[in-house]
Amino acid sequence: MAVQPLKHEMPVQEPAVRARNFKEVALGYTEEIAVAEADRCLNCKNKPCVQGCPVNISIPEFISKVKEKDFEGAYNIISQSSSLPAVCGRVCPQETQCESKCTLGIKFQPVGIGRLERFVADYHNKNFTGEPVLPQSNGHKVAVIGSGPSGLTCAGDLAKKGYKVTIYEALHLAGGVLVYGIPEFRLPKSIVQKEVDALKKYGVDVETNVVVGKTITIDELFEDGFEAVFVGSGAGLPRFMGIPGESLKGVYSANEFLTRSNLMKAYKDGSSTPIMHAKRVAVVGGGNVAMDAARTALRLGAESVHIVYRRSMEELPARKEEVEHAEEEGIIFDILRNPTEIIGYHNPDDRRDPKNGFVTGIKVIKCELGEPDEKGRRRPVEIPGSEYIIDVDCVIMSIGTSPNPLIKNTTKGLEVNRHGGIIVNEETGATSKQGVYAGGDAVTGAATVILAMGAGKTAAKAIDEYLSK
Amino acid sequence: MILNQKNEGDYLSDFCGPLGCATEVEGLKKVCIVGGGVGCAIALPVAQKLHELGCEVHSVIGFRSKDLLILEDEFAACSDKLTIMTDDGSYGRKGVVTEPLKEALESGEKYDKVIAIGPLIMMKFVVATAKPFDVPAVVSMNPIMIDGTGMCGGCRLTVGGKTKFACVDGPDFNGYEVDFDEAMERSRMYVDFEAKEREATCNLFKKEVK
Repeated sequence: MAVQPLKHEMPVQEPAVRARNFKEVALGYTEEIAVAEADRCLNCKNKPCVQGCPVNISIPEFISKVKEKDFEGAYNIISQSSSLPAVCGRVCPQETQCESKCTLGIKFQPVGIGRLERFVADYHNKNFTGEPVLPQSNGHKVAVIGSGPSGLTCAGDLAKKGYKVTIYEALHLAGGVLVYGIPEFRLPKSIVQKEVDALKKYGVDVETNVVVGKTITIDELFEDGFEAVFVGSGAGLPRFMGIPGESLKGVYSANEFLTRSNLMKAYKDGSSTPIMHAKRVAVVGGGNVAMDAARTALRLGAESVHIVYRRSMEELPARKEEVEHAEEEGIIFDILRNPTEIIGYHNPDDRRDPKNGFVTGIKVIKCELGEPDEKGRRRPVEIPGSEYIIDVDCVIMSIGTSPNPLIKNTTKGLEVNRHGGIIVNEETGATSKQGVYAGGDAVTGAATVILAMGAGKTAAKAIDEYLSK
Repeated sequence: MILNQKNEGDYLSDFCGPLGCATEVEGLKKVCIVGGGVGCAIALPVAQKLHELGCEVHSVIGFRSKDLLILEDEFAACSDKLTIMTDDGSYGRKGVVTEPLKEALESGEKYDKVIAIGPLIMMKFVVATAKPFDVPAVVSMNPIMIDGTGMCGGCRLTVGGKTKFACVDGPDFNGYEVDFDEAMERSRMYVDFEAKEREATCNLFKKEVK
């Protein structure tokens, strides 16, 4: 039988419609499409896709179950390796991971592994009504700091082994970046809530409104009887460019803009959370967070949204599907542009003019690509005299973060690198402090959900070995 | 605004803290605490701690009018000298908090530190008052803040030419280094939104009355 050369398309909301609502963009495969897509898998012997997955899901095995229409069986296989399949099926950059290694992808499009994972997880969430089988308690207590992807994964793996796990979360809702950062239209919050509820069923306690490093220290956690601590506190302070005008009203960090909209629900009609409903917006940066901010601004009613990125489309670090979706929705990509100044309104005759101090534009300079840098990415070189102004009333800076200093500053014996990231043994996640493990953005700086999950998994395994001794 | 509509005995669903860096109080012999309006509530524990450590505390607290006066007895209990100011003269002395501070400094008072907590404009002028006398001046910054844990960057300030975050680097800063004009400008970001919110709430109340 001839192989269908293209991936089955996933049904999506029409671009013109979805650009004005916060409902999920991609609607997911139906059972029929899922089975047809699973049929494309060659079930090859060497399974390169599994190596491409940071948590090594048994991909061909779960796809075989989908072929047989045993969707719950497929879920059981995925959940042996991943504790957040409904999340990963939506936000993983599959094109650089599992799908990039797919044998079918050599000649044709690879199998839609991410889409199948999402389908299987959604099927389970919709149809499964049983209760999980609780493991026997082993009497050991472990604290997990942060309820983002690495913390949830670490907590889940340990709880399934019988550990008594308490998660400490700084904000009032569990989920970390899955809740404050990634918008509803890309990852519905009900899915995150389901994953958190599932952990609670395994006996995991979630303590919100606790800022470890302030409310309580790691040493105090040990005094309270915890035998190991996992630090998954995530990325920290947003970076700014250091150009003039970054303190003007209408300049946000992507973290602030997205937190207001997602966590604090400013996107809802009648919300009492203030947010600028700007008409013309520039988002500086090219990662997933930049795409999320740009598309959120569009949904809040912007007429034009520009992505300002200093390299070309090929170098955009965002997930391919997000870039495609953004383009379809009408986001303008001002590539090979670097901001040099943010311009604000100033009325010299009236100090009390209410427009004073608000953004009116962003000055950018054109760039061309030069020699590759140490990471192999071609370096942008500014073209002298090519500056011009884009008229905008809001600028969102999405150029990364630097690690949060709170835990480092209050934990003796915890070593960090020159960027402030916690130093760990990559094999185990162990830090320089006995019994303390770390993973996710707190170690690597801003990265992906799945890498953080992988780190949470690694640490859970190491903590289990450490406490079983 | 929802918070100031709470009554005694009402509750908040979430509370977290204290966050930020503690005020430095060690080794001070004589300090002038300047509080303005609700900022006095934040200034009080600082005054109490200094008093407890044996520091001589001179407090100047200011309010718009007598109706808005708070914590008079508490300040009296921990201050070696207390001056109360009201804008309209309805209680204490009429005038602004910088006047008694200036008089004290001019009369030769040697403070180790002036600590100002209140509206931005008040702190700006406390710093300006202290400057000719070369007294260290600490201010407590209260920019618009989201999470308070060092995640959103909304509370950024320019201090000594550098970007600082009030939530993790502050809230206390060297008053001579703070760009107050910028901070005041940024604090007005949502004035329009808040005015509309207030109006909407008031209209709801009006409907209820009918």
